[in-house]
Amino acid sequence: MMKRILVVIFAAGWTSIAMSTPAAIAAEAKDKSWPCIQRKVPEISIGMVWSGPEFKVDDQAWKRTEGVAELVKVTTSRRNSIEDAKTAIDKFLDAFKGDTKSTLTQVFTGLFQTINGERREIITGIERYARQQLVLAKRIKTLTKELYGLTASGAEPTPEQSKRIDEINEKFNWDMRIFDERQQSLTYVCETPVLLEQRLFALGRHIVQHLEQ
Amino acid sequence: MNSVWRSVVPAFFMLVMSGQTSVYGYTVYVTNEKDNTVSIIDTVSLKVTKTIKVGQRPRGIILTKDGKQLLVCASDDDTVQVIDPVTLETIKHLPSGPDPELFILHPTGNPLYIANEDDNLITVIDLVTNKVLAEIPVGVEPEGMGLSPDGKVLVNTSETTNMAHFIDTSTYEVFDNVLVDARPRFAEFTADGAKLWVSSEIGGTVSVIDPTTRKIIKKISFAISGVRSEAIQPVGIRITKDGSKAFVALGPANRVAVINAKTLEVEKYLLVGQRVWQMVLTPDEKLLFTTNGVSNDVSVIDVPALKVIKSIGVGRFPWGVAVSPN
Repeated sequence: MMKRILVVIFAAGWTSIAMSTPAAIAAEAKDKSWPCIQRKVPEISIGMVWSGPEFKVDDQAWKRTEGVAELVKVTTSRRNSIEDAKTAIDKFLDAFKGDTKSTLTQVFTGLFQTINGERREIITGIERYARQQLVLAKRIKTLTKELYGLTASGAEPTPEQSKRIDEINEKFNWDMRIFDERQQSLTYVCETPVLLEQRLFALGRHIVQHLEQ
Repeated sequence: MNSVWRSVVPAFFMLVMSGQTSVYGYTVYVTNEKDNTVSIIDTVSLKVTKTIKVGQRPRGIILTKDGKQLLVCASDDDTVQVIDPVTLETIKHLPSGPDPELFILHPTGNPLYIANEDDNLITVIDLVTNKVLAEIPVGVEPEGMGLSPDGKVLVNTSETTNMAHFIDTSTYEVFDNVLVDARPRFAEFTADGAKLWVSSEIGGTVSVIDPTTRKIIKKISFAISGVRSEAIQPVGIRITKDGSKAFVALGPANRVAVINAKTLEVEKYLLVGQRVWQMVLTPDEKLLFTTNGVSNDVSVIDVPALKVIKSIGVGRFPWGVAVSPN
């Protein structure tokens, strides 16, 4: 009976890991540190999100122009919807007097730096997360191997072996729980770089529409 | 009557004032791959007027020549759904074969040629009798479908074999193959039948082929400032009837290339939406609609002005697009 339980745990554990390890999810990806189904795009290219005037990627002038830094903060906050961010840009322009072309380009420079920076941090975080999952998967593999070694013969375990089997089971269950919870979070986190790119594109296009008016 | 004029007249003046050049009302249909829906857009108001539920994973979409039937590839349902554009009810399903992705109608309006991505086949269906006329084996992952204006030559592109297969529509036999760059996705004949354009998504090029000799006349490549070359992935192609302009959707480059179709030189890149794949020109060729799969919208290009005039939010992963003939 005991053996059967352990075999079931063993099989369930392996199936779960095999189905959901980062490596399995990213089976097609060459980069093993990237666990997402979404393609890894480390940086957003300016030309993919912007058709307005050229600007220097590292230009910091937007931080010093009145109202621009605040507008960038509001529009890059993911608490605000993209539609709300567009409305904030519209309101800023309604109240603005001055060189619209230069200022709107500064707004986009701020959006580009902020969103690209946030995206970069998230991508680094996802990779770190994936590495931790791989370590955990290896530990689970070691535990299940040891468990199998203790129970494969089918003989009644000694008191020491029983104690160790209980310890392994406890560790195994705990590690699997953490592994599964992290895996579920990963699904959401993997969406984030794409959502950020969508936001930058939508706002860039909105600004260009203002520039073309 | 008065209420009709109250709505039509201001709309007409708004369009004239905005510089938009199409005032004739067509209906545009967009498949939303992830939502299993079709968004219906009015070309005068440029608004979604209705969204209807369709089969699973809708991709290719086309209207019959008389405009009386809307055909939708419901890829995951392994069928082509036939919808009445007036009642928006499903009339019937066609025996499309597995995983239909794109299709094309014979210039006479019948039969229908369907690319079955998973089966490496082209299925030919008689729309009147609902019968399969032929199954033509082609290369791996067939997708793009082009028909010569006289209907005698069907060209199919296979994504993995990297070929354009030339098929005789009277014998259903492949009579020639042209090797193009990696992952060909779309084939389009010019209206005079003198040239065939084939896009290569991974290769990043468009091959312009002489259909008589089956030789490549030119490979058009693309370069956009600030965009990595691997992000330039040509898919959809549309060419104006007079053969002067061609439009190529460049996928994750988020641009549509405008090409002088006579000199085969790129003239302009228009920023549309994210991951632009398929396009359709209105019959008067005043407007071009593009489906943008990641930004979940449709961009509208004013063709004479070569300007993007609007983006229209639709469902998730917009894929195919068709327009009513009148």
